[in-house]
Amino acid sequence: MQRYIVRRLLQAIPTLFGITIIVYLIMLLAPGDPVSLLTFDPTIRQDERERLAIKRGVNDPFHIQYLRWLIGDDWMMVDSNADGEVDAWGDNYGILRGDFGRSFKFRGSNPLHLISQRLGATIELNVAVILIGVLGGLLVGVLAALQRGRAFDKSSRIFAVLGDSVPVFWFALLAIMLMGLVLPRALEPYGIGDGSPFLPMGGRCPPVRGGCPPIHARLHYMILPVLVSSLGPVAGWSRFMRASMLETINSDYIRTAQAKGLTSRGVWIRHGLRNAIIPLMVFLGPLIFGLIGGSVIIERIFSWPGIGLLLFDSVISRDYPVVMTSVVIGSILAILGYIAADILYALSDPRVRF
Amino acid sequence: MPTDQPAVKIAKLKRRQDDGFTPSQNLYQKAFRRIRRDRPTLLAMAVLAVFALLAISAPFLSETVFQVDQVTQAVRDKYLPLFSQGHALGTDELGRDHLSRLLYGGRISLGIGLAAAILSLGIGIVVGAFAGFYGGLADDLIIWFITTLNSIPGLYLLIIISTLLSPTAATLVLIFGILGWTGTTRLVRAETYSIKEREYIIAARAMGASNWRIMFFHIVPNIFSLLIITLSQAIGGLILAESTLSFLGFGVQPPTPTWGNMLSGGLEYARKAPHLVYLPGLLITTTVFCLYLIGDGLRDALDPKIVD
Repeated sequence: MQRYIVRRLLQAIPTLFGITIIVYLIMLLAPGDPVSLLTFDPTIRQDERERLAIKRGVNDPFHIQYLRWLIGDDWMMVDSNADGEVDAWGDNYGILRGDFGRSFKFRGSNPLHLISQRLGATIELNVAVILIGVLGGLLVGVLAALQRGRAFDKSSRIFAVLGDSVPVFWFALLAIMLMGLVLPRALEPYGIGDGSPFLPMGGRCPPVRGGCPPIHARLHYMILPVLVSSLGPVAGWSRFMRASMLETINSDYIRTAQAKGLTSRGVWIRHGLRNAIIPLMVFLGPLIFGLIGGSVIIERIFSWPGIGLLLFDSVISRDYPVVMTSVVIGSILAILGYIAADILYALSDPRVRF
Repeated sequence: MPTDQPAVKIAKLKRRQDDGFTPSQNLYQKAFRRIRRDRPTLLAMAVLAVFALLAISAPFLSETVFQVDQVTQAVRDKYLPLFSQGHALGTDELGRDHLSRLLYGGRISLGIGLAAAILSLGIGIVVGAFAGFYGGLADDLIIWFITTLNSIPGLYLLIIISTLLSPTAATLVLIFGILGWTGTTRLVRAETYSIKEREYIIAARAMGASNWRIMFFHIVPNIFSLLIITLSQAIGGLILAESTLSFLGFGVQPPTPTWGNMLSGGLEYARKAPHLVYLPGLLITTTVFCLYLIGDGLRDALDPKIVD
């Protein structure tokens, strides 16, 4: 098992290496000259700008620039006063040692620090989505398999395709309009509520002093975002579960269990359900991956202060160091999610050998 | 020879059925027959055909039939509701005719979806066939590149590239095409891998077919059914992606209408004119829903394992 984990982690290294190359290449497309991007200071003097350009290696060939970004330049001499001779050690540690530069927008902050502040919010939201989405999907899938060919099965198929084809942000807005405007107004005459929204329309915490209260005191802030982003997972997993369940109940050991005279609940739940869930573990990795990408949309709509929103804000304000860091960290999270899902699969299925 | 008596005919037909014999029907003929009986898929195809027709004839419909155009602004006629005089689907925040903008927007949204899907599928087929056929180092490199690209959340890449390039419809197609080919490549590569060992490929080689010919005349046509399914789902996914990108503000920029940017533009005015929000959203959802249904239907119809 340990060897398997180590091997998976080692396999991720070339991928990570490729990610840094892609991110760096894309950032080279950024308009504007690199120095004003680096300093983000329009008042900088011309001679200082040139000195900085040479010190930062703007005229170096691509692979040197990339290496300076990746592993830093404190091991090499750079031309710090632009006289054509290298004379001082570089002062950049490179992203491999956690030096992602400094944020333009949040002047001087370390992008890693900014991200670590936001990570908790994203993880909190997505763990809830995975729980609700997977459990809901399993439930719908099992019921559809039990009712195969009948009304519930057919409508769950329509629901699944529909859940895939609704733009998430549109669905979120309809939910917001419904819970925040239409329902409160419609129910007010009947003495339910006072016409104000039933649920918080966005944000993660009530606006109080002294930071966020513990999670159980602000669960109602999670209801709308979690339900909205669970739609896709419920839709997908209900189909996976239905297919897997139908495949399982056609196997010989289910027939044996039935022949032994077990109750149908015993057959379905103890023998069918538990075995039908195992192959679904494969879909856990893609789910986590999709949620990390989709967090940009959900966090933007519900003003949820996670890394998706951070990425969005930094792209808007062209805060390139934070953008690059978010992409690299987001990808690392995605890779770790895949590995975790594979490990979970290996643990839950004794037939998988390492 | 005299024609068979009816009883003999029936007996013959019955024997044929017992043998599982269907007279000379290839996979696509069978699929066509199955789809003709699959009502949800047929309905989805009909709806899509109507949408496509509306989009193609957008200039004619809006200028000649409804006598409106998508650019004229009118300060007095802002936020007109549905079924207003002269504006069947109301007007938007600048007094532009909503119906006409929906028609033109559909042109661009559907166009982007179709063009980008074809482009990414094209890249995927060529790269996948190449990697699967030759294997070796090139294959390893391509797989490494795909794994890498697939490890970066797609929306992150889309957002960043779109901000850097502030795309028009055409550049957006390019961006989607360049980012979206990996799935098809994996599919084509895996299929090529297994097909290239079959006898008919060896036969083709024995007859002197070049590698290029084997790849694109013997292997790719054999996975054509898979590619059709992929295509219909890719178009749906891309229409969704376009609308999402527009919602975040990185898609095709106004005043060019797409369903996505009309929807996101209407959000600010959702209270005054809700039709600006729910109509484009409904159109996107319906289109994608139909495309996915068709994909589902085609998957069943084109499955060679199903015998009917």
